Amino acid sequence: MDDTLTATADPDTTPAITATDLTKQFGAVTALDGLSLEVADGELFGLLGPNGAGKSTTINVLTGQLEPDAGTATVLGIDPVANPVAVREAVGILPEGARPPSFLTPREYMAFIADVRGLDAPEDRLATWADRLDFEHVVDTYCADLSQGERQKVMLAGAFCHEPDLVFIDEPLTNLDPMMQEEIKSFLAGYRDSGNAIVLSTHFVETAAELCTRVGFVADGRLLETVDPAAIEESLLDRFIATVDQR
Amino acid sequence: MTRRAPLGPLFRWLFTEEWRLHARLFGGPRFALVPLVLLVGSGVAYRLLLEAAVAPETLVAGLHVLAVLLGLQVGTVALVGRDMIENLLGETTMLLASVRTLPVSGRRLLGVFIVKDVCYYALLYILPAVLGLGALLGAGLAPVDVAVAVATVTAAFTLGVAASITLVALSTRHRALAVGAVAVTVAALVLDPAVIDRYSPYAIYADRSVLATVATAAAIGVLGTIGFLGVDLDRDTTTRTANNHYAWLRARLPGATPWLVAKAILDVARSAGGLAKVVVSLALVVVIVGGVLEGVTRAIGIRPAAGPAFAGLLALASFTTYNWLTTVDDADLRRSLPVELAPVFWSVLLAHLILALPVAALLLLAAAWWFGPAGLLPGLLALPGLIVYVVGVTAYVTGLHPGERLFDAGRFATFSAAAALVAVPVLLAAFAAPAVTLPVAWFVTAGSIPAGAVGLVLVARAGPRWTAVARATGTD
Repeated sequence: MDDTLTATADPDTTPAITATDLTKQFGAVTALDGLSLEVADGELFGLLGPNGAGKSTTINVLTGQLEPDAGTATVLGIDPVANPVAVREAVGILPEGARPPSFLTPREYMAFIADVRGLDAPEDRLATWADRLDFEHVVDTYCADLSQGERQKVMLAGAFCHEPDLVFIDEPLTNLDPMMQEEIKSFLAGYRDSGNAIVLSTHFVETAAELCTRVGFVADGRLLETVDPAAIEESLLDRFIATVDQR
Repeated sequence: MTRRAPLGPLFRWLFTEEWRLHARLFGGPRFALVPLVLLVGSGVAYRLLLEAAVAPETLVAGLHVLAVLLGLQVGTVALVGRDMIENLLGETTMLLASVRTLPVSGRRLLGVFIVKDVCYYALLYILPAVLGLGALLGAGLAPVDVAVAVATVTAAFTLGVAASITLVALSTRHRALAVGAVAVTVAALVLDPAVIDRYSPYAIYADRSVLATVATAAAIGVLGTIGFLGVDLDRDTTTRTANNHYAWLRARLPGATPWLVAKAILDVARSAGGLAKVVVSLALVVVIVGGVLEGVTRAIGIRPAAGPAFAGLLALASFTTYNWLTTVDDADLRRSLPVELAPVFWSVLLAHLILALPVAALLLLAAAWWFGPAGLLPGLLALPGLIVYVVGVTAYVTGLHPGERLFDAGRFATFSAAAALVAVPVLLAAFAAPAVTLPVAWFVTAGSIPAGAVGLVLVARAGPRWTAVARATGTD
């Protein structure tokens, strides 16, 4: 079997993302090695793989933060290489481990995001998202002084407040307590069910199996296999463990 | 009895970590060239200044001033507070952060950390810069002078570190204590600038003074002890809240991206040290350089024109404001937003001017009160152009990471050459004969216009330049 497969979305739906043969080299390290994938509207596509597999690099390339050495991509009809800022206007991004600005309050951060994205009624948006994610009680506290979970909620609000058709989320559950994880998983499931596309990068097999509509296994910069979450336990987990063992 | 962590291995590991951190950040083997570049570059610069009739004693005095300033900077970074340490070093501060998980007391680790910083910077930066004086052997300096300068400039650097640690320690107890200490020091230097001649490390060099040696050793010992024992490592961590100042500020700012400027200003104002760090970092230049210029005045008999002299120095010193503005910014977060780098650089320039220009202008007035009003108006008019030039050079050469990228030997040499291009003529002009002071000062003002234009061009070019780097490497 060819190790480099293309993850193809349902042919009846318009792809939110199309990426073909993405390659990215950092010095001697090959971060992406001909990765191809398609994600349809309304999909919650999981990028599953061990640390250093190329998941974050894939997201960085698809969101125009990083230019690939080779390959092409289209995100919501936009070329992220030619129009990186336009892609970031259209989508939401929650980078791994990112924190809201330490010296702004959540209220100010949401106002800042509204300015950056040209959104109206920042106070209304703040009220809506603080209520939805339950951080009303800290909206005037310095983000530096919030708990990790509260910071993550503020970041989620910042990534989702313009209600984009496509959101990229990198390891959203790391370091969160189980209750907070459940809250965020429930929120993501709801957003997915509203017909929006989400690309979720994670190395937690259970999270991918629970939330995703389709899961792609990434290792060594390649998309090795895509499976239905129902099949994740049988095929993907074995593959996952085998790859990690080989290392 | 609890076993105490041994100091030797702690020191060795911290030193190794510092070296690896810098080497990793700044291109590995190229970082090792920094001392060599400093040695050669400083030697060439000293020789050129000598040809421009600057006396060797003046050069050595200037070296002492720079060493104190570097010491203040290094000490501040080491101890400036949890906010700044997190933003500056983040997850890379492995050993310093390990105090929470290892059986090492915070004070013990901090003490070793500071000693390590003194040794590290003295070896890599102070030593080559002083050894560069070797270029003046036979031209006013003897080998023994260079050897003594190595010791006294290192002492000046250590004094700067000790002073900044003391100030930070006082501020962890009560901010007023630190402000009071600065006020008393400034008042003492203004009332009796000759104190520098008698008791400073430079006095050891100039007079081989035993009194100055004892005074310097005592000052380092006392300040270091106060700083080490006085710092409150468990200080108040009260949750901080704020009204929506962002919206207020953003509504009053000009330009195409007032939100970026508002965020940048709030970041600086609310991070450890607040706006005071902008004022203090510039005021220190006036106080210390002023003290040295007093000595130079007595030595060569020419009183510098305060306008051009301090306009140039304050513009260069405003590099620290650029450093504050960019250090507190979170690059990962910014990269995830639909913001191009070009407007980020313009917003940093605007925020820089808003924060640094009024402070620099006020300090220029203070310098004029101290040294006399010669060239004050031309100096004030030259300030904006010179500051824009410094911002432009910094933005173009170091992007949004000046503190890190200046450790790269190539970038450091480029930055120094670009800074000297403006600083040297301005300082030489400041020492023009009294009869031509005013025309020369106006010449500096006129020169600040093309300098400012160059600065604007460099800011404009910084955006595309660092965007290309960011998209290739993932780091802007």
